[in-house]
Amino acid sequence: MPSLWKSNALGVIIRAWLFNSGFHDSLSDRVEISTPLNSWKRVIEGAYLRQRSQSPYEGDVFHETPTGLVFYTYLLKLNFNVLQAVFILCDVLTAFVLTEATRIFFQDIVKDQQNKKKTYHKDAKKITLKKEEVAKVPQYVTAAYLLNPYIVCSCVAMTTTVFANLILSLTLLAMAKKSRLLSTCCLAFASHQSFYPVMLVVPIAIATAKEKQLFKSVFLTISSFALFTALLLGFSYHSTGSWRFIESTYGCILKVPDLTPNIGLFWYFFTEMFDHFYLFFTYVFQLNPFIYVIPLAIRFDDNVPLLSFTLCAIMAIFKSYPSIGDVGFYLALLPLWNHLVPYFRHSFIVGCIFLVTSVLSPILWYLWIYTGSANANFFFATTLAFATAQIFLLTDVLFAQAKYDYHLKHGIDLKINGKEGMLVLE
Amino acid sequence: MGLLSNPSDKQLSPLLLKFVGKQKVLSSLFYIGSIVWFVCLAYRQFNAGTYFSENALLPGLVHSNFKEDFLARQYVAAIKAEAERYPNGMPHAFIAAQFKQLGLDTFTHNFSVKYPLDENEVYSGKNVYGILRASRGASTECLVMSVPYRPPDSVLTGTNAGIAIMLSLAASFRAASYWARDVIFVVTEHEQLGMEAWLEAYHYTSSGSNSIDFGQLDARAGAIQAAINLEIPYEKISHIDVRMEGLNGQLPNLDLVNLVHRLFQQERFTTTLKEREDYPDPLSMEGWIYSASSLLTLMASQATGVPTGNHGLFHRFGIEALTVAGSYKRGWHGSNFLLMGRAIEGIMRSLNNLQERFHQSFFFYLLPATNRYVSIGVYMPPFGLMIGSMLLQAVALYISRKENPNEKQNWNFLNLGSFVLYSTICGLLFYSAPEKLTRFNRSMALGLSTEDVVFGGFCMLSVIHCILTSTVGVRMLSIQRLSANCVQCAILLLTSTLMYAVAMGNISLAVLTCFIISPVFSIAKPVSQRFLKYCRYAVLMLVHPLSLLFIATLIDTYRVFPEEINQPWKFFGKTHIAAQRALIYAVVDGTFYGNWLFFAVSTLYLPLWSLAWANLGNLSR
Repeated sequence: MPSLWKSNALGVIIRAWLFNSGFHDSLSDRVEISTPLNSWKRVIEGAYLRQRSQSPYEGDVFHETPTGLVFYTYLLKLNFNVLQAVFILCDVLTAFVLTEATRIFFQDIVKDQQNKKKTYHKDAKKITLKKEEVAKVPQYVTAAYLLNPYIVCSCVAMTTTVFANLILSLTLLAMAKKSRLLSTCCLAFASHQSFYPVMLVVPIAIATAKEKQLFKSVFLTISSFALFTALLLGFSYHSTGSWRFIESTYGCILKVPDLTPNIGLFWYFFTEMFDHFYLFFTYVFQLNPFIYVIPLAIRFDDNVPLLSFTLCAIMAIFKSYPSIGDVGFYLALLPLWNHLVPYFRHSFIVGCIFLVTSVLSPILWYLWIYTGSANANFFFATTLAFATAQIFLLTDVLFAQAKYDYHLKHGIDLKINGKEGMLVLE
Repeated sequence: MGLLSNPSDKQLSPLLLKFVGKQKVLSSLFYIGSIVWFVCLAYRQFNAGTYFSENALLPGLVHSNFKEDFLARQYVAAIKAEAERYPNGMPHAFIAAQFKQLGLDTFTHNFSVKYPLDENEVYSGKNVYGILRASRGASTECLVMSVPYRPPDSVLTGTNAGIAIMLSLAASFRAASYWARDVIFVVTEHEQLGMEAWLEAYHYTSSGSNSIDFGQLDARAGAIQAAINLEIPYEKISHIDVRMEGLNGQLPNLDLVNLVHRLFQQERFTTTLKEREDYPDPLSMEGWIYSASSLLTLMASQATGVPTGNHGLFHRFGIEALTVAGSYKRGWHGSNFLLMGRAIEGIMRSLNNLQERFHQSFFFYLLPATNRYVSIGVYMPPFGLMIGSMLLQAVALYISRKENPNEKQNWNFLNLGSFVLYSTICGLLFYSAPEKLTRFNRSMALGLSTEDVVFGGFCMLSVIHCILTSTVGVRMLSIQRLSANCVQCAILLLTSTLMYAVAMGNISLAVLTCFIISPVFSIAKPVSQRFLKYCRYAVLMLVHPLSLLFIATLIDTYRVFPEEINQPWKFFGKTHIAAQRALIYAVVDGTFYGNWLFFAVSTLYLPLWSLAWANLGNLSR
């Protein structure tokens, strides 16, 4: 696969060049990239405090888990150039893992279609997936991950999202391989770091479920996830000697005390909020991403890739401290839905909004913070538009899948009594 | 939620298709309409009268105490005598001594500057500043009054009277008890470089790329709230020109502009905008044309992103500042130091009244006259229309891709990646070229002047770039079988995004660029007729950054020396030299002050242009 190598090499070169031209400092200060949860500066601070045998969780700076802290302490002993190489390597690794995961996912989708062939309309042959495409799609995923500007920025800014994405991609791979133990283990790590991936336990349960012993299998999945999580929490407790870290990590994620602007929807809303509504709306905002899990799981129970893609996207849109590294992660999975592109309705608009908001947000930030001539509303407007574009994209994918399913069952022609028919949602 | 959940595929309402079918007419209508609209904005009926939004300023409500005009006259004489002893430099010691004598905290600030295009050229300079400590404040906030010192040998008009009036004002302020903020009086050397160095040292940060070694400041006085820069050449002044265009086209808060106009008018000065008085009958046709050309002059100077005075460097630190430039025109009533001092005292006392930083009123506006303004909400719709004309074409191209489905044509925007990468690398090469070229010149001992090397080098690079783009670049597009329509759609989308982004910071640049390139980029696709094709190449060549630079300097030269148009050779020679200098200034301003025009043109506009250039030769129609 020659083009694979090209994109890999190019991705690595771009990252190395950006590191070497001193973009690390300017990028790591950008609010779109570094949030209180993933910024490398805070990691350095935390590791330093730990080295001074002070608890990094007493202050309000460090929000990574103790497990992560142990890992970062080792990383920080490395030479800066080696450290950069580690970050680049992690990105490349993530790309490969994602590629492998999508390859298996895609095979599953193709197999699934072949199994259901009898239930399909006779015209459906034109739109069913062919085996030749199986080889192509994963390549696109590698390129989409390594050349994704969001991911590149996130890597060069040395955010811990790089590692979060690696673990998340491993979870997806294990899920694709239908290995319960591995996937729950990876998931435990992922949710240990950023909490929200907890919702991926649903697609894992579906992927590993056996027809016959459904309840037993679901129970096993949940309990093994709980076991791993408990182990990680226990390890964290042991390494710090207190439960104080819970407040600093999960407390920070759930209660949203740090309202530094980011690309998410929380900060503006909660800066405007009166204090006595604060708790109520935190509940509302935090329940929001989790509300979609069950309905989506019921609707797309036969399509685990789509379900996990959707959940990743929902996390990136609605989590309390999103960064563009999270957005880039699910965008890299988009090639998986290449066959749904003809059914997309908003792709042009979504593309334009992504382009415009990505260009405008640093400019409006500059006008607001540095020159003082614009204000918070300008920046918020771009983040709102960005979130809207993401929601449009997500619903587009979901509806495209629904339409695709419909066409598979009822044929491509929508002629009713010789006239063009029209799909209506009821 | 019908927008999200409407499941129909056979999309596109007939209305929309009709709309798309008429896109050529519509987009030209949009374009022309936006220009007409813009010109209309200068007419009195379409813009609004200025007013004070910040009530705390209380302009002109205080009784003026200034009566030290005799002091100012003595200072003028003393400075003149002292200046003659230093024809090239600045009499630091004398100025510092005057500050000290008035009882100000006086300090000297040393800085040095490395010329970005030659590391061996190092200049040094000194600024002198005195701080009047407020009796009612804790030195957490301050106001700045600055004057650039100009030695007698300078080609620019002197500012000695400005220093004199500043010193006499300092003497007057010393005695007052109402100061809630410290006042810093600064005399800077080397024009904008000195100011920049002082500001960088004050904030202890570099805003360019470290070619100014800003040194240390011995004392500060808290956050600077506002600054007034004085350029007063002599005592007898009839006209006050209020200059506000700052670095990268940033403007000060409109309240400050209004304040300065109001208080100078109160002391019977004639205030001007771009050295043009207000037209007596603004409702007439002539009045409209007059204010339209005032607006255009302002926009042209804002578009360059070059500050029109030392005030322009304050803006990037979030400080509202403007320059007050005095001049005397024959036949007008000339005022003396007393009135001048009273006006400036009034301004400073109004600023002293401020409760918080300037935040009311407008930061984004255009002025057609000294007392009329066009706010962002008023100028954005016509600009949106201008962008809309490009967007409409892009959407129409996108929708029409299904009309003649051709297997060979590719409509995947991602395939533009390789070309974008190529053109961005070219752009970065252009961006780093000046430094490399001058270094090459020195190492090979070619002995050419910097201007010649950079300008000549750029011309050569551009020729190579054009040839490369129309061979390799075109191949890149053809290999991917990218449809010419697709490429054009991408060009239009990227251009409108870029223009919109520019408009956020510098509306004038965005409008003027859009005005020029929008029609050119909308014909940037291949045609079969050979003659038309070469015409298109020629038109596109006209909007190449270097051609634009040359045309702009041509117009500017004509405006400055209209009589020399009769001698075309001399005229073109002058333009050529001016263009060379303009290029060098653009490069140097980028490194000194962080002016982003050169960077944006070489790494953003040039790649777009080369995409258009390549698309003209695109083989897959």
